[in-house]
Amino acid sequence: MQKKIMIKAGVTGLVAVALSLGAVTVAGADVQPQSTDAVAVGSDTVQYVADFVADGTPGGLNGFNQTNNARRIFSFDATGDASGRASYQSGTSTALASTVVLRAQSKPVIRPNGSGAGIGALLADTNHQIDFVRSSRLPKASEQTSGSSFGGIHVYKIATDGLQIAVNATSGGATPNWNGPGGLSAAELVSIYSGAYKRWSDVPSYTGAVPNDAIVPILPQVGSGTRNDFLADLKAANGGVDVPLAPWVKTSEEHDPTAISALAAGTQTFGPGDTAPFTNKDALAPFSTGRDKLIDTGYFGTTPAPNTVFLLNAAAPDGNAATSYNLARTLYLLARQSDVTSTTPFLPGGSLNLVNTLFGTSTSQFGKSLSNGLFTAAGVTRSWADLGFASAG
Amino acid sequence: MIRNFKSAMSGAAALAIAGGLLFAGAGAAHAAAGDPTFETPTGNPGTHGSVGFYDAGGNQIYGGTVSDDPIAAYFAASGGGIKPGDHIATAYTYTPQDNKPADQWTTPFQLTAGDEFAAAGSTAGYPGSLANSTKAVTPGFNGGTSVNDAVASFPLASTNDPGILQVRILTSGDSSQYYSTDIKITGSTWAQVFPAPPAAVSTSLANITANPASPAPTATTSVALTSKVTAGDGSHPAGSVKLFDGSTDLGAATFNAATGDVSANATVAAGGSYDFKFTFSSSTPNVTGSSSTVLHYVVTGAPVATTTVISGPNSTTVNSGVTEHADVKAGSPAAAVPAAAGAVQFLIDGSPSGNPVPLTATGADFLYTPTAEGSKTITATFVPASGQNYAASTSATGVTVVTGPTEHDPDPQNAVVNVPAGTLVISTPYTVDHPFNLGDMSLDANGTVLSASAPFGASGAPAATDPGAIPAGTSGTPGAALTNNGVTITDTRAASTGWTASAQTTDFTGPTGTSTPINGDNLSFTGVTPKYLAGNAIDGSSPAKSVQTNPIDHFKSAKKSFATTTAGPGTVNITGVLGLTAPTSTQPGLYTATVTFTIA
Repeated sequence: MQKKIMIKAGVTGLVAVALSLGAVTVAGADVQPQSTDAVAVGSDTVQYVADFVADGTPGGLNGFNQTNNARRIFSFDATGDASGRASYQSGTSTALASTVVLRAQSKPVIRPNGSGAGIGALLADTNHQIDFVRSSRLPKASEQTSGSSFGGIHVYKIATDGLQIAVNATSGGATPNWNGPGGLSAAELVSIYSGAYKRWSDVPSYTGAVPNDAIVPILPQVGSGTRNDFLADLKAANGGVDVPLAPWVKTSEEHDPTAISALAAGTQTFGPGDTAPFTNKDALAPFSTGRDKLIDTGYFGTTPAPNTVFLLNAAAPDGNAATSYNLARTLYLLARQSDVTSTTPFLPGGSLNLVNTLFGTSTSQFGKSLSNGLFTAAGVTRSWADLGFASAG
Repeated sequence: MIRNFKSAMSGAAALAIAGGLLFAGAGAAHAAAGDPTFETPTGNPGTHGSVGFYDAGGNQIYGGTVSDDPIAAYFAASGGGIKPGDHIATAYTYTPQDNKPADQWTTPFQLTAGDEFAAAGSTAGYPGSLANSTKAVTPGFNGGTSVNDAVASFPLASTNDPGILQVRILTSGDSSQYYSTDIKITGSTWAQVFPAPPAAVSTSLANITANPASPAPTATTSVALTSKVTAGDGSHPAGSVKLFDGSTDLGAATFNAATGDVSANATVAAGGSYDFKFTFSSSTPNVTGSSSTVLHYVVTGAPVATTTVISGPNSTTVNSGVTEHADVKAGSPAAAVPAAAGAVQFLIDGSPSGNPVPLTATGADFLYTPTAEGSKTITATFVPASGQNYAASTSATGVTVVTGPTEHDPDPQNAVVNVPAGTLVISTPYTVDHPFNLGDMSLDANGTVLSASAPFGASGAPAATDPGAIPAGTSGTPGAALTNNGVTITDTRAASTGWTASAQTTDFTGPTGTSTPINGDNLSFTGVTPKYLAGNAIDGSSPAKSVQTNPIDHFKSAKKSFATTTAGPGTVNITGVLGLTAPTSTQPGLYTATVTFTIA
């Protein structure tokens, strides 16, 4: 019997494109989906769930693509980096918007980075290159309206995750190595991100060693569902009023731990004559609980290494959070309604369309209990539900 | 290594075609008629071996229903070699696609989550032969993984192999390499078709033998049932046997798999009707179960025959009760029926008297107390208890009791009598005045010794109660006609237990001037013989009424016994011959000795 040599058509997450801070990246010739394959873009938070469900885990669990050669899932990560890091223009801190070829024989387009960018790409995708969107937030009402041309955006819940506050961790350890308190409440975060708390001494009951250090708040990039949900939650904690972001709030790729650990020491200027020093021990950012678990498994090797960041879990100084800020989040997959009702079978020999094969039913690839291990490997908990045309905001 | 996917796909497509050509050639030789068309004698392209289906007990199964979720509790790969480094087993179904090699089917339906099989201890908790197996084993996942679920996702559309579904185990991410087994769906069931399961082995159960046989006696409470399991191939399959009464499960029967023998005891009751049946089921999947023919069993047998016998006193007086006894027996040899068998109704002249008397282990008794003179016949009838398998019976003959007049009141009087102690007397007719005369001593022919002898008592004369008398004027002349009864022993003692008679003598002293007496030890008493009186208590009619005698000599220094008995009281005569010897040096003259007879 002749052995066939298969050339593995890996999704982006498995094809490492060389990236490093300060290096100019060239979008390599990544694998490109055929017209009959399933293509997904969008959320950084959800990307590893989709990667494992599509391609299996390093531990040996099979994903969809192990047994489906004729029709594959291509879930393009939010950035061009398999470790979920942003790429930057050479010698700058300017994020480089990477590109991607969504279908074979098509041209590169800006890689949708984040839930908002993914939804936007779906709404603008008149050539149907995108089949579904990863999202860590519900579509907005305005986005549902914009999707009326294809019947609206159908929302499927696939998992639950947590959103906590990440800070610098002890090298090689699992303990915080930062100047702030062991926990922070939503109210304290409002004060931090609005600039009311500039220094640690501004935080009531602060007993740390560097009260004069500047607090360095970090937010995910615009278009990130994480950014959206975090700010919406702070708004709710702020009496329903949008939190005006302080000018010194930094932006980084969501769930990139190096945004904290690799932060260079510096001096924050709050105003004329009002400055304060800071190091990476003063930085904080909202961070996916699942992503932190995945990092700590060593999945990313040393890029980042396990325990690069620590998620706060102790009581907040103001007494309003017994185990620090922790927002329960839902992870979603979004599809055109017209694809939900399509009668075209996705797989040769199959009876179900793409949506119902992959995530549209409780027995689909993302919905079935058999896939629990794939979700757990990504650090999140599988939980499927058909949410119809849900929206928020 | 980064490669252009398009060219890679072309390459893969080219390989696929090559693979297809190879398959076309190989596929022409199917494994066997009736096997799926895509199977060759060595399987289908991509397969390393087969997949076994196992139930929760670790027993291999070869079929089930299409709704079973999961299809099997366990899937286990066998045959071939697992690629080094592979350690996760995942099961899938693949729906055949005509005109495509099996390793290129695009119809996978996942059955299991993917389970560790290579790490130490990973299969330790699996049942039966799967425990600690080195096979790639993956437990079935409950939740949407039935055959129905699989065909709902990938409908059975093959015309070459209708109803066929292939189950695979993958141990790596290369889905072109796997283990596979084909099943066929027929209606609501599925069955393994390739590799072909072991041929079915039929079994049968022999007709049931019952002891006791039907119809069983009414007293039967338990019946022993036996049968035998026989396999069509002569093997002795393992399994279990159950006993049924109609549709009622009576529980497990004793089953000896090595011999096929089946046995069970069933509880039955009088008047009962039963439909006994054994059913056999095997734990070996290709062994078909079987049932015996139904044995219809009833408990209505004929009762055991009995005999009743009455016995007891046949006379009494008015108002004086007598107890009559009845024995009830059955069987051969006849033995008393058990107490629980029933009771005895006693009748007086044919009319029942009182209530039936319950039987005991020794029968039944009836106290009859007549109130008037006359004659009444008492009979007995055995009345079996309810549920007891004995027939009634009546005594063939009765006891006729004659009742006499009432006895007057007695007048007790004292009567006294003295029983004397009695005496024990030994006597002879000889006195000092009339001694026993031995006569003249004579020299023997050799001239070596002098001797004399004479009968002591007339042995030929009838016995008498007295010793006799020597007529007046005569001496004890030997041979004289005397009323001589020798030694007479008279015992009149009440409660006598016998006596012993002895004799002792002195020396015979001679006349004056003779210095040497004749030694008394030279005297002998021989021919000692008892004479019995007719009608006497000591009459010699039996050893207990006889006197034992013996000759004596040398009875000078101490008395010697010559007669003894344990009988008494009574009178007996003892006769014999007294003899004396003397040396020839004895001087002439009349020698005299005293012989003393004593009795004790």
